[in-house]
Amino acid sequence: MASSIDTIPDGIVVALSGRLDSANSAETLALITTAWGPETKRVVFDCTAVSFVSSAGLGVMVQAARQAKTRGGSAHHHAASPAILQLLRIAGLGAVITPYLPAAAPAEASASPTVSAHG
Amino acid sequence: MNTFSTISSAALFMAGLAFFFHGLDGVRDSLKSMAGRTFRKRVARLTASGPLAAFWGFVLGALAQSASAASFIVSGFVSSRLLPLRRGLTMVAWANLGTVVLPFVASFDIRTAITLVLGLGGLLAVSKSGRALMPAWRGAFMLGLLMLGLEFLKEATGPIPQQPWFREAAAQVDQSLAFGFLLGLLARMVIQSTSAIVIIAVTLSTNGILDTWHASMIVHGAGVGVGLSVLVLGGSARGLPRQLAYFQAIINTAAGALLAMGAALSKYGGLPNLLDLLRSSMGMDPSRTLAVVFLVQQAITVVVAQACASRWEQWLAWLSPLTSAQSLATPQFIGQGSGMDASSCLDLAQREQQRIIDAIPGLLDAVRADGERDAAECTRDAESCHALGAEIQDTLHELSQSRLDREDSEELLALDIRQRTIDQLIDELVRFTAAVAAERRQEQAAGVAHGTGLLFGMTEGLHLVLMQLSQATRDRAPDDIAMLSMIAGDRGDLVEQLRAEIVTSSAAGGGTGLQFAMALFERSIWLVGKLAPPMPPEAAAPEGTATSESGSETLESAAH
Repeated sequence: MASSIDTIPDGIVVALSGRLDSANSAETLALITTAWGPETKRVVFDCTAVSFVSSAGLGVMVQAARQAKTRGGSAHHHAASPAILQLLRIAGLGAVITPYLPAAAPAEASASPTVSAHG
Repeated sequence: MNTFSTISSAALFMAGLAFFFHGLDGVRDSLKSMAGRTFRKRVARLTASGPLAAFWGFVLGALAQSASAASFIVSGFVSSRLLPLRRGLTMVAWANLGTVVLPFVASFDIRTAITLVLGLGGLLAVSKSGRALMPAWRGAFMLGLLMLGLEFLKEATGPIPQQPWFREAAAQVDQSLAFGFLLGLLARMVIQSTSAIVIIAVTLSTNGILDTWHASMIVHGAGVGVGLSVLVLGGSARGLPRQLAYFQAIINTAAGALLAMGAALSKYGGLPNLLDLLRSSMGMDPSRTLAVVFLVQQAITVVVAQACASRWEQWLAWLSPLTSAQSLATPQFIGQGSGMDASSCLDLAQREQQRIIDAIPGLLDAVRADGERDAAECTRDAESCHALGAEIQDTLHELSQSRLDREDSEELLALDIRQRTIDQLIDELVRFTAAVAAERRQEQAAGVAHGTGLLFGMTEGLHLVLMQLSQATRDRAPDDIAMLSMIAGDRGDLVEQLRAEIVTSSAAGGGTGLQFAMALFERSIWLVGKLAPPMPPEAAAPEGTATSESGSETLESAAH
């Protein structure tokens, strides 16, 4: 689930940890929606600490990507394991959630956390 | 009864139960396979009105010579949606009366009839010719098996009345009417034939072991036993079949209990009663008196059923609510379409179709990480989706017979093609689920995990695409449609790459199951693509102008 959400200049970084499945997908999506500001265009999923993502978890990513694209923004993943990368590709999300460019890595780019310490 | 005959009777009883339950499952499966448009229409025509349903129920009861068997046969028809519940209730009620009449008017050898049905049905089912009628022959064979099971149960329990302990128990009946009632109830639970119990009661009465009062109480108790035995034998059934079992239990219990109370009041309260009336006015002997008591009792079941005809469905739904699969198979919109114009009917058919699309992601539950349902429940849901799909096709077929303008004709054709695609998708998903489960079992047995990640990815990925299909077709939001187009897009290159990886990672000859699952996955995604709704005209901006206010590429333009 989302353990913290940080802000970057034109977007948010959602740090995921542990399992992202039907048990916490609604909560995670609500958290992302709350953190979504008027200037937010990009959403970055930091997958460093993720161990498992189910279709419900992918659904959260798709909803966030949809929200970002509607505003002319984009959705990205960062530090995803090979298993999660394969899952994204098989699910057809390869072009929807693209890799985050290292020029602005989420850990370095984060300013002050807006929402944090959940799960 | 010596040890050998006791073991022999116990074995016969066990075989009877096994034949009965296998026959019951077989009849239901065959009826489901036969539930096509033609057969459905034929059954609907034969039971188009209450009196017609009553007639066929009566005939069924007379031929089956068992209220329990008739209940289970009708239950198969109702569960397969070949017969509406209301007509099924009428048939069950009249089948009770049918069980009485035949022994009065003719000597009908049920055993020969069963053997004939078993032989003919069984031989035709294994013959190569007439494949179209295969489910009907198989159904006939299974019906024969069910009836033979009941015959075995009767035969196994037949010697009981000759046993000294039974006669001793029966002699005790003379001490108490309630005991007679209880004996009849228990005997019916074991013997599975009310007619047989009436004959036992007549024998006991003729031999002077019981007087007519107490013998009639055995018949009344057997009435309550019918209901209880239907409830016990149909124990695992839920929803519609359970509703029919409750109905049979209630009307038989009401009839038996009503006459038993009447008999008790007459005996101890000195009120006029049926037995005295039959004996004094018609001069009947005890055996004929008991037969007429049985006839009256069965007639009361019909009266009770008809007296509350309009309320049964409501009461039974409260007693045994429909299962989720049965609710899914029940049309919620197209039934309201009679008398409406074509456009409204098509709109209702589309809404009904959406119910299937919303249920489709759940078909993967058995192999999903987050799945809430097991394989059997997923199979039932798939069958329900097909059943509802058949109802939609029927509605569209009927609508196509009427005069339609060009727009409605095009919409009808689109809905028809769409329904066929949905049916194909359901079949592919069922096969995909089975393939994934089989591959996982095989990998587990071999102690390898070559395809674990791939199987997981395909299952979860496919579920995501199906969820998106449901959302896009329901809300028709341009962004959802665009997202669906993107995630259900062509995966040709990816699949080729994954296939090559499977070949590399699997041992020689291995990976076939994985390749098969992948082929089904690819085809399912392709079918989803065919079901994706078109982008609304107002959202489909001309090429080169699909930009948001900020000038960035929008989701719709990306999808296009």
